[in-house]
Amino acid sequence: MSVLEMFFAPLRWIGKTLLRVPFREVWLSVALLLVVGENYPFSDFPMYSSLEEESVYFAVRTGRDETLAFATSFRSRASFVPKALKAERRKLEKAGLSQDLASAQAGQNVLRYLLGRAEPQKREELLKNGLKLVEVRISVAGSRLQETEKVLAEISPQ
Amino acid sequence: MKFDSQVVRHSGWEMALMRIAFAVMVWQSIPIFFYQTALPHPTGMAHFVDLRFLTNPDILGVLRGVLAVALLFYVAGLFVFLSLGFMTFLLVACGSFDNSQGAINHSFQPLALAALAQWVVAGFFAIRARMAENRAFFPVAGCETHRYLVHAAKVALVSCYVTSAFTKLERSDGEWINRTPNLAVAIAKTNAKSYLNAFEPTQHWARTAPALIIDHPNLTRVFFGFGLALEMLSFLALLGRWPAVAIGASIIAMHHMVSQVMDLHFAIFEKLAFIFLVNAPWLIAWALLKLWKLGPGRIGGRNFSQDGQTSDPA
Repeated sequence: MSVLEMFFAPLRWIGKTLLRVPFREVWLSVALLLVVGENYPFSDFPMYSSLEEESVYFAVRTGRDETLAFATSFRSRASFVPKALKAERRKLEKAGLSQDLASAQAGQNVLRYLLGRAEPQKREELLKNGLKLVEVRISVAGSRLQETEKVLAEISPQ
Repeated sequence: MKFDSQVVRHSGWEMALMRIAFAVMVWQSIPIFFYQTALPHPTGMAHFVDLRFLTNPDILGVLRGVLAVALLFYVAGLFVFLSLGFMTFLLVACGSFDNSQGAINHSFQPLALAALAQWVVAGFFAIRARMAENRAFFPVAGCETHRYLVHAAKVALVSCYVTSAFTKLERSDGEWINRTPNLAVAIAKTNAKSYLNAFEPTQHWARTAPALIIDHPNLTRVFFGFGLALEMLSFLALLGRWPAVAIGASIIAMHHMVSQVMDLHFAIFEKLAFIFLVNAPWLIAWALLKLWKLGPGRIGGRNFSQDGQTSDPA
């Protein structure tokens, strides 16, 4: 047996063994999806995977506490905000901002991004009373759901 | 029956219908224009290519025109490697652009993955025909190639579910089923988010589910445990026609229940399961032939050859 054959023998054995694994194309595909992670079109599909005791959603309100609909006011969706906040926070932290500063700035950036997405003729109206991005935290207390709110970012009335 | 994935011996007409349905889905998923103008959080292809050219409606219009031709070629089985290559490119480009706005959306991924998987298989067949067998170039794909393309689409779809199950177990430290009562807060959040989109009230079940879950945590564990098991075992759909029908129908039923309880819709997943796993046209034909007491072989009803291998009919 030559040195080259000796070198390739274990690889050939691994290859032959893998070819005998049932549903090998599925495992290969799953491994690829898990390794590459969230890079379109690949994903590890993390929706509802951690199931924490608390859940958070975000609302945009005017200075008069009127809640605004994401689709009609900002041509966006409510599911956009948490993901955008996370991505923005990560980007700012990478740029050297501290965790607290990055969180505050991310809220401000996302609120301004949403405002930028609103139809130009609606923007003035939206800014008349100011805007705020509110974080709503849901948890179970006893046998009931409870919500606590915190203002993340604000744009003053203009 | 061998416990392994089988390339089902679908008939030409079934696969033609699958290709038509897949082509329609691809066509409908490519937007006519993009509101967005920038890529603030690049993902996927956006890491390597400046996808802002998609914001130009003229360029996107031309790309959609080329896509229409590619889809016609794909349906006809002509130049499948090239047509699938273009379909994959446009699906990945548009999906990457959309997901580069800061919020990752998982609705369209299986469609792009199914196209990508088919493209890889078409590439393999093209190279094999050219290099190994040294056959003369022939632009029309044969039945065997189409069977492997359908198989690749099935693998892409079930891999999404198996991956999702692994991620659930990994991110919850193996405690996912135990933690399912926490879905009460997750559903309440989803309801609030749905309502905040356009102030449309959520479905009845979605409104009552959180209270039901809080009151019946163990029932919740059993109910969602079945869902996790289905995701984890969805690869069994590759065992043959009937397992595919059973798993495909179960997946659609699961999505339907999720849409009722959580108001979350995964239309692309459901449609792909319906096209490639349930394969309704074959089921209808099979039922009709059974009624008329004709053999299933007339509709390509044999699941596998004796050894589980496929061979191209003459």
